[in-house]
Amino acid sequence: MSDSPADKLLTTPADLDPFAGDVARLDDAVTRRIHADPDNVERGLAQLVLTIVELLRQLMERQALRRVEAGGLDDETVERLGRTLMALEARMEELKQTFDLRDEDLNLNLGPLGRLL
Amino acid sequence: MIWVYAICERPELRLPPVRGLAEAPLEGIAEGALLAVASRHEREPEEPALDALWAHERVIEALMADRAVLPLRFGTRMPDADAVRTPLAARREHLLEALDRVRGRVELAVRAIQPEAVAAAPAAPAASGREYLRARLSIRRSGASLHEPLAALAVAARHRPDLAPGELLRASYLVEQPSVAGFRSAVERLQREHPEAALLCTGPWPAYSFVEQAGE
Amino acid sequence: MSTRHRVAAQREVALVDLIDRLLAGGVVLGGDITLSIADVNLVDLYLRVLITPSEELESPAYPPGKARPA
Repeated sequence: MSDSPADKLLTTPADLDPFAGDVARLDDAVTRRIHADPDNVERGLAQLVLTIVELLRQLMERQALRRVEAGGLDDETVERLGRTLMALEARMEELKQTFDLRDEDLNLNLGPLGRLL
Repeated sequence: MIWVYAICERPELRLPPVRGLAEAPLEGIAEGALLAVASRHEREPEEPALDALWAHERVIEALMADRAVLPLRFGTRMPDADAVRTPLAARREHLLEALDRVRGRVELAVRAIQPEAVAAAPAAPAASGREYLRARLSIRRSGASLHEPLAALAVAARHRPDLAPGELLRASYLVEQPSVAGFRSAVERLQREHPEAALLCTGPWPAYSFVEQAGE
Repeated sequence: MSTRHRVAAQREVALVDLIDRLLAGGVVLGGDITLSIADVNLVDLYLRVLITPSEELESPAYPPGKARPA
């Protein structure tokens, strides 16, 4: 199909930089996958738990947004809904930091579950 | 251990003349109408991680030249050939259906960002719950206005809800091979219509995002 | 953007999209990936109970796989 990575770019915006990645971090992620460390069970469990929590959070946020869009909620309810979602997101960030997990560490191993969103 | 690249059909066809990770020769492990394509290794591949990644990808692309292929997630290791055949046999129907779904089709990736929003980092926390929701809804709508016309051109589509700050869309589209050029034109057209956004389209890729039926 | 910078950026961009797919997509056979399929299946069952069927479908159902003539 192609001989070089650059061949994969079908359309390109003027500035590619925002779409490029942190090569060191990407290399890390791939290296970790190649050398899947069976001793790191704790990290694997944290990953599983947080992925599920994140999945639920995203589902809840999506449901909430649909509800708000549908209309008919009073101002106080909208405000409370928004604050709850903000708090959930902030909590999620704290949890990720606590376990030193990044966005790409989550959703990595869910297989069919990842498609539910 | 056995490193597995793909599950495909037509076990009777010759394997393409490409090597796998660490220049290892490819080996087919057949189970009925299904064929797993793999390579054997004494120890974990020692080549640079990104080289291994592209090697995995190249094997899958080479297979796609003459048959339907389901790419395997990178990092799939099995202890031996029987360990590979067992899940093939157990999931035979699912896998055959999946092969039908991807045959003659490729995956195209689209990402869209709002350049100003990406540049303005770090994002200040929203002033109120209402503001948070308003911002989220706005992103959702912008993303949808890009996603919907593209999904209409595709056989199937998936989009990620977990977007980074400044991102509007991160999606995959399953497209008939002959439709790739038309899809690319559509992305270019959308870009002209949405100068406030920056769109990127890459591919064709093997159908990584479409190996499972949505909602399965 | 200089040519060299641009080529390097192009490679990185393609890499990001590839990694997004290779690490999170593709068929999972079980075996040696960090989280075993058995664990995930339990969770899978639980979550299906929570999720309504209308959530997932992104596009009209495409024709169920027809084998293409070789």
